[in-house]
Amino acid sequence: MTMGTAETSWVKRYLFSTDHKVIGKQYLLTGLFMALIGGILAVAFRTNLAAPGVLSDSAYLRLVTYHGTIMFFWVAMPVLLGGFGNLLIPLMIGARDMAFPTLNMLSYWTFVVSTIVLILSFFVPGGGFSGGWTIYPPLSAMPEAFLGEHLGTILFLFAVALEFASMLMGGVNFIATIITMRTKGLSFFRLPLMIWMQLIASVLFLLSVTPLIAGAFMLMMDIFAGTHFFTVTAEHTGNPILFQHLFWFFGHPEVYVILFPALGIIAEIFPANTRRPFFSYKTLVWTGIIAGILSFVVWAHHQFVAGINPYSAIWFSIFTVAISVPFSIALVVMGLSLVNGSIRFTAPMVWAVGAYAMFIIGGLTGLPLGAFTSDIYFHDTYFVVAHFHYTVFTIAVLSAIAGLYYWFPKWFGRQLNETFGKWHAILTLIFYNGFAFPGFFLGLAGHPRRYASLGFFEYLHEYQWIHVMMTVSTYLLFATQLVFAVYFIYAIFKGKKVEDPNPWKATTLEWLAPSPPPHLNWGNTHPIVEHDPYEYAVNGELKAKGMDFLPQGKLYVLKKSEAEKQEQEG
Amino acid sequence: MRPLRATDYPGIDLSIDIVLWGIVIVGIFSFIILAYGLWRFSAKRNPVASRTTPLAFRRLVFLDVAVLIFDIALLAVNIYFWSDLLIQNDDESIRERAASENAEVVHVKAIGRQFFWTFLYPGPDGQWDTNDDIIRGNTLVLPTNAYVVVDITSNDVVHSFFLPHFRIKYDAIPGVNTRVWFKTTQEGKYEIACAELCGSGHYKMRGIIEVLSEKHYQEWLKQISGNAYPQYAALTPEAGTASPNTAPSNEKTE
Ligand code: HEM
Ligand SMILES: [Cu+2]
Ligand SMILES: [Cu+2]
Repeated sequence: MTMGTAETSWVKRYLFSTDHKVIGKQYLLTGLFMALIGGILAVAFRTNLAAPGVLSDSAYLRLVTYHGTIMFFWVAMPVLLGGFGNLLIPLMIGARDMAFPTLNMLSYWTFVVSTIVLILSFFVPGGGFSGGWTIYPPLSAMPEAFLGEHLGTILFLFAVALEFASMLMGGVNFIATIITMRTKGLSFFRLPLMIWMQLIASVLFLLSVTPLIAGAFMLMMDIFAGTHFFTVTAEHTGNPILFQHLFWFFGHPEVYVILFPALGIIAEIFPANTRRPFFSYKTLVWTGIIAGILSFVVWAHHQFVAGINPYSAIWFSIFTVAISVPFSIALVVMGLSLVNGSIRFTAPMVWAVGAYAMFIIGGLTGLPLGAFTSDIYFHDTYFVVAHFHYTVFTIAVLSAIAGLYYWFPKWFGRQLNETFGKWHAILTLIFYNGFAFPGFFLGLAGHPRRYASLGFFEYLHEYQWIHVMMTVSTYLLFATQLVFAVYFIYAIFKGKKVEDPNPWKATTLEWLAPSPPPHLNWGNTHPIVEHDPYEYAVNGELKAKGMDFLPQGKLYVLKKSEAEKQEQEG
Repeated sequence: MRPLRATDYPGIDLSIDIVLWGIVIVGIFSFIILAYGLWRFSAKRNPVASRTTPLAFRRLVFLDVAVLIFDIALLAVNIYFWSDLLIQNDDESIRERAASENAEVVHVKAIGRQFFWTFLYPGPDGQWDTNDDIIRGNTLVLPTNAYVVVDITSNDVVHSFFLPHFRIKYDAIPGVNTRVWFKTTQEGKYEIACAELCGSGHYKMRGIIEVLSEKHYQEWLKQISGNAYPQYAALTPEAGTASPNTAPSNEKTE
């Protein structure tokens, strides 16, 4: 194992490092870089919607496809799981590193390869894949159905497969670490919610991804080996609907794979800024577990009008609508945790409150789609685009940035400017609603999604101005994030150093470590947990001393022999 | 914002209205409470936090009960209309439905193809796959006051047969027959949009539904029946041969 000593080479320390914090940073920065690309794509195809003809028909679809795929697999997952998961899991459970540090490094570098393959797939002759992030065959299986982007499709599928492999390595690592490496005193029901959420997300990913891997393999066989699993010809009757089942059995839980860590971020920021414990911590854990389980029996809500048995659709609709119950409970419990708090509107808190509010919109607008008769009308319209952006943008942008402001001191030992952070939040929220909310009206008007322009349909003509408005908001949103990106890079190197290792006065273990923590995190001390995770608004002795919180654990100084042993094990 | 409804079957619109009103009310209520909570418990107004939650706020848990009740009501309404539209859609049920309203039944087939629709009518004899079947490119002509049964399939990739004015949508899937029905009420020209990504011309895949008065419809049928068959072969290409074709036109569609 590498040691954090000066002799280890630069390459080992920063490039092929096995330190969870370095890997977390690598994931974070790669993910943020890809977010920039995904955003540029969005700006480009949104421009085409406002001024049709800027892009060719196939270029429009290609950009939309890459935008969706990048935002899910190359932004949300690496940032929320790879980045925050890697940084926080060992620190919050009092461990020195992940259970399998080398696997962790391998996970990141597999991710890098997948990124390179993805970018390559875009530029090969014939162009990148353009059949939507859902890759539905027969369209995706028949290059002649588009413009012959054969190689692009193969590389695209290969890139996604590599990305899954990378995330699987990460997921196994997360689960093993959380189960086996919790420090003394840290029972499951004392885990910070972020850790619970990472655990549930990793389990969901592990359990859901297998059918899709089978599906992707069959799809590749259809493309090069002449099989007909999903394609239909005069002689061969494959079944295109089968792929949709395999895809969405993965696809729905996948949305929760990124949703849960985002909720985890909000759940850490809330108590630290309301200065009171959750109204009911256990309820939040259980609603997470229940929603996670339910997420496996709702997949066909994406296929209500796609030829599934109309009787089975009834069950899928019931389960889907039922999932609103645990989520509404979780949201109410989180809301109740503001009551009698003393809310400090720090920059992370403004972001977290914004994300919380947007999740309400995202959650509620899922109902018209989960209720299957109204979904007959809304399916595959802009209502869907608006609904899922209210969830996925909230996940991948609002929650992730909330986490960045909150844990920036932990990552980099420096602090982001508070005033800047609040303005950043407010402008982002305004422009985000400007590009996303009008989608509900377009959807109500019956505007199908994945349309390069609405110009061919008379019943839609009057709504072109809405597209223009959404595009202008997108530009402003993107400009805001560019300013942030520049400031973010500046702050990594030049930001104000944190003096207090616990700038938010938070209880969880990661704030006991120095900011940034050294290699192996705890030096010659060892954290031991003695309390529940969110002991704010405490009374008695501490209060008299002017402290309103009780850190979850204490650091014990190790004897010399113990310290050496730890070093060797690390 | 929905386009003007062209049918007197209210089921889908009713389902939409209920759910939209429900979420708008719950949404506004939640936002008001959230805003109040953030204001009331800001550090400025409430410098010292406490771990208790007053009863008045704990009652917000009933919001979840309200959501649950709303969910159940919503599902009941949805299941009722769903079963109307997609379970009781066999020939017999539709005939009964039409008979009870003194309406006609028109049975057609719709075949999706990059990037147009082909429609088949059984022709005067009412039988499929006979010499008098009528084939039309991209325009579906229908009478008013009719229950229209559409059997949908596709010849290449997945398309979706979306009739915004009738609120109906269902995918056209190669190798699979799916069925929707809807009721025509008003004369007029309505658009058919494709609602499943089917290639680069997806957004141009526009079909037309022309609803004629009973009298004009009968005239149209007579006029078309004589010369329908010869195009049959040209218009139903072998399955699985996707190539970007242009719409065949036995009439100009505007
Ligand atoms: C800069 C902000 C963003 C803008 C302006 C934007 C805009 C859009 C638009 C207009 C579409 C639909 C295009 C169409 O149907 O024709 C779309 C699709 C999509 N977006 Fe975004 N988006 C943004 C951020 C995000 C984020 C953060 C995520 C996810 C984490 C995301 C995930 C997706 C997905 C999955 C699709 C579907 C792609 C497909 O249909 O294959 N977007 N986006
Ligand atoms: Cu889903
Ligand atoms: Cu189509």
